[in-house]
Amino acid sequence: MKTILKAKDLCKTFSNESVQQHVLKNLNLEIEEGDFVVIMGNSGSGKSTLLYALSGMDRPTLGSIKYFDEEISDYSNDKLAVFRRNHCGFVFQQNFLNDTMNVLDNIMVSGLLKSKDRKAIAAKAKQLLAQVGLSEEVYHKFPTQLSGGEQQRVAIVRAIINTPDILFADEPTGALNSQNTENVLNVLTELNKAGQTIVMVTHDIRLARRGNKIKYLQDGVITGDLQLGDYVSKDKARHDALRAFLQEMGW
Amino acid sequence: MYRLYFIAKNNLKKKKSDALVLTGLITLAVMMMYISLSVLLGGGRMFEEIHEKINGMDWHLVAQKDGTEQVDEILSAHEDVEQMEKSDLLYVPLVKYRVDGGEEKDYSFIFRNSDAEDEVNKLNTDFKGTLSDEQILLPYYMHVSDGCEIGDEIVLDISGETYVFELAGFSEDPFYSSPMMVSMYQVFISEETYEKISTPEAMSAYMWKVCLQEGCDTVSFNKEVLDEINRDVPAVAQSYFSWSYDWATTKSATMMMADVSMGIMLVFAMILLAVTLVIIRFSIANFCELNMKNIGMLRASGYTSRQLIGSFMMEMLLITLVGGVIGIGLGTVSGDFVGEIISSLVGVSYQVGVDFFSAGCVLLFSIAVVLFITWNCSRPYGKISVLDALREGIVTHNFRKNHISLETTCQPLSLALGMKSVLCAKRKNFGILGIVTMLSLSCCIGFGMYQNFAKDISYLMRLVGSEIGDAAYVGDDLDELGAEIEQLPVVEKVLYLKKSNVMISAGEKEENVSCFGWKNPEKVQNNFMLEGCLPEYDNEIVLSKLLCDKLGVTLGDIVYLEEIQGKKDFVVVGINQHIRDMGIGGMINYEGMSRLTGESKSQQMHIYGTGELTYTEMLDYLNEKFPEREAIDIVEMSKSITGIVALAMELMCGVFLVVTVIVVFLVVYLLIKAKVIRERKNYGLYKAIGFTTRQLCMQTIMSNLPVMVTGAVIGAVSSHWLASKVALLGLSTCGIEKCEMPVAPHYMLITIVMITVVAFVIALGCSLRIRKIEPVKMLTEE
Ligand SMILES: Nc1ncnc2c1ncn2[C@@H]1O[C@H](COP(=O)(O)OP(=O)(O)O)[C@@H](O)[C@H]1O
Ligand SMILES: [Mg+2]
Repeated sequence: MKTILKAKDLCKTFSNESVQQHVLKNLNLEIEEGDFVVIMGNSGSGKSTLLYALSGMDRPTLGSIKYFDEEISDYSNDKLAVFRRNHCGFVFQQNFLNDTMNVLDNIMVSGLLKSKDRKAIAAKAKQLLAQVGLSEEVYHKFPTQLSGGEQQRVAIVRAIINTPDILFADEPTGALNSQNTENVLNVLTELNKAGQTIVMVTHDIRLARRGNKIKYLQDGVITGDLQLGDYVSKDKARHDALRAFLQEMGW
Repeated sequence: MYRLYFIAKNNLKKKKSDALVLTGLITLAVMMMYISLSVLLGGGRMFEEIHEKINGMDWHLVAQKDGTEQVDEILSAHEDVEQMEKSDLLYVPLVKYRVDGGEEKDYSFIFRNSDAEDEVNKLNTDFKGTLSDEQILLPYYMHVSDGCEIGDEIVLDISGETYVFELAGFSEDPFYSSPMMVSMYQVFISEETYEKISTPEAMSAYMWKVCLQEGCDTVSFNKEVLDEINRDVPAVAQSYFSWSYDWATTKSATMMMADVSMGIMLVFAMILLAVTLVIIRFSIANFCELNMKNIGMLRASGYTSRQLIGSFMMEMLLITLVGGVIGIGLGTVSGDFVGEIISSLVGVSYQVGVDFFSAGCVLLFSIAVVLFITWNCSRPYGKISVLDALREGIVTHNFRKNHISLETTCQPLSLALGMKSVLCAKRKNFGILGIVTMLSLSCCIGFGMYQNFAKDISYLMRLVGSEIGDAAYVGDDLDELGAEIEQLPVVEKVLYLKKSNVMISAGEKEENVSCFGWKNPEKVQNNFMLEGCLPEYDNEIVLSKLLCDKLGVTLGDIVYLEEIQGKKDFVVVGINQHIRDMGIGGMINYEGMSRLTGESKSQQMHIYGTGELTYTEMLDYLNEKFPEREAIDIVEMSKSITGIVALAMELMCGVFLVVTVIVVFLVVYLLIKAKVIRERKNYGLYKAIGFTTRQLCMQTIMSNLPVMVTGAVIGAVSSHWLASKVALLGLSTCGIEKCEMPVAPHYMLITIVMITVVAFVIALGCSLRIRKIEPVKMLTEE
């Protein structure tokens, strides 16, 4: 498999007045096409920071990030915006849907950035909505009229409408109850099976189970790396391996 | 109370820009209201003060000396007369004058003796008896119109004789302060010089000055006593010149331009206040929606809704007080400047002092309306239940409708997104639409007035009802001269006029009217007919609409005109309108005039050229051809009046434009800033999914510009219909029934472009804050 994203000697330092906080310290990481990478770590360990750096939402203090052969760490803000537009999709803990637009338009806003063909995008949006298990009824509803899980699934559709090369997700089910969590995770797993590269941050073992590679973040570097096979539900051996790995990491 | 003040103060800190903008708007509105109100209320008072100081006359008559002895008797016998005095004066219908080596101008002058012992309408005491033989006092108006300064050299050319004077000062006589009322300059010179100038060319005349008993109506006195004089003293009626004016009419006519422009300013200030109120609404709604949680906290900790509403009112009270005090301060500081302008409109030096009464009125009024609006629109927010507020649960927008579906629209993305947010805040945008429409409309009307009444005076002169040909002659023996002039190839037509003051009556009602007899009524240019036709036979007359109303007559009725030949009947065949003579007048032909006055000799002659020569060339040509007669530069002469109008219009346009720009600036600034702050999250998200700053700026601008432009266009286009209505409203008191005031398309365009450009530039400037929004910060904020 080809390496799609490669971070080398990544550093991120936040300076608050006099205090300097080194969140990422010479971190190295590779992501291959088709991976479902799960980044784990304690709260405050810098998982989100890493995800934002990888996805071009924020620039690292030092180090390089390569998308294939393209060095993106020194891009200007607008160049980064275009990069994100063309290659990345995002799902956040909160769904950040725009309350003043209906479901379809929330997705279209994103889709129209890349393509001008309204009909095609609308059709694709509808198809994707169906794929994540949302029926026609929701098209013209407003976000506030949906359940949390439905909202998050809309957010996923918005994230993948432009067929991003990598889908980034930052604790995508943090705000959901367990039933909705399962739904959303199933959607992600399905996407990955269809070839979507996913990078997901979580500190929840139920989510971590879904990935095929687990990276453990501690003290600003990746301290552990676990290879799991493709996800099969109710796989006891897989669950145990993950448990053991996390225990070893001191989780 | 302090608790309210405390919350209010904290709230204000959180919305500094709102507070600043509102303070700015209130400052502007209060300043304009204060200035206009204090002039409107104080202008007449200032005239009264001068009148009081100089023991001013309530009525006066100027007429030739011969055969007018009887006037003394009539006046002193009149029961209303308290004091009567007769002074000498010299009347020179045409003086060429030059100020400090400047260009030569023509005007009518009356010369008065500064050493005369006058008791009524005294000359300012500092000047009496102090003038040397080379010194002169001019009316203050010439300081404004000709830029005369004390010490300037004034050269007068009186029938070929040149006199050089030094300007010693300005006289302030309310009757002769501005050519709006009496179109001549009254100047004072020493007794010696006065004697020297008394040549046959300068017509020696008397001025009868009358003070009336307390409480007498000067208008009716004028009417009454003129009737008597015209009947009993034929010398006055037949005199080549004579005029009389009463105090009340003079005062209102002189103040008219100042009152009109201040009135317009007051209306505009009100519009501004209305704009402020709309913005206060936005500001409160916006603040409440952003701070729903804080409101919830306050409610939870025991604040009543009354207290919350009270805190908003306290906030606005603070803003209004600060803005109001600054506005009144600025109004007072700019008093000199305003005074200068008013002086140039009324012709007496005008001091705008501190006017506590107006200041109080304006301040109280603004506070009252602001508090009312604040109370009215903060009530719903004060009443929100604690839990709703804490959950930020109340749905203030109506999300039920998805305006402009991105699925089907074919607009560009930025525009579509912009329009979406326009439609989401419909009520707010209606408010803005209203504001911009009003501003744009008033700008266009301002431009229209400027265009029709100041830039090109021909329409104004048509409304005034005075002929402005290329040249004019006054005096005797005009008919032979006219016959010669008519033969000249460069001359298109010559109009002959004879005026007469007549008593006109219909039934019980009667009026003293200046009646115009034209040799060829059909050739008269500035005659604005409303109905009917021109006088063709010697018993036909056209009356002004106002006169018809006063006499209660209409087309086909019979009226009686009384002159030296006795009472003659005329049929009303037409109705016209004009501003001159306060809208009262009659028009007959020469045959009609002969019935009234016997043989008719022309008194005035107006020459219209074929257009081959410009009017200055025409003047030179005529003066060369007929050196013994002096052609009058009528355009220059009418400029003394039209100049005042033009100045008032320019002033008004300037104020409208500046205020419009300021308001558009403030409104756009406030809106965009509020939008950027309120929608930071959405912007962060949009950036995360790959919108560039440029796209977001465009989208933000698009959410405001369409409303602005629409408002500007609606305002400008509707001015096409409304401008004439507004002009008519203003002129109806001067006897105008019908009036067109087209606004030239390019002025509309200028207005639209100006509003658009200002809105665009400010929107662009403000939306650049979006650049600072980083996707990560926005998303991790909570
Ligand atoms: N914009 C920022 N400014 C300063 N410090 C930050 C910023 N973002 C994150 N941090 C700090 O970096 C550390 C890692 O944060 P984060 O990546 O959000 O952790 P995680 O997602 O693993 O919980 C935290 O201690 C946080 O305080
Ligand atoms: Mg995090």
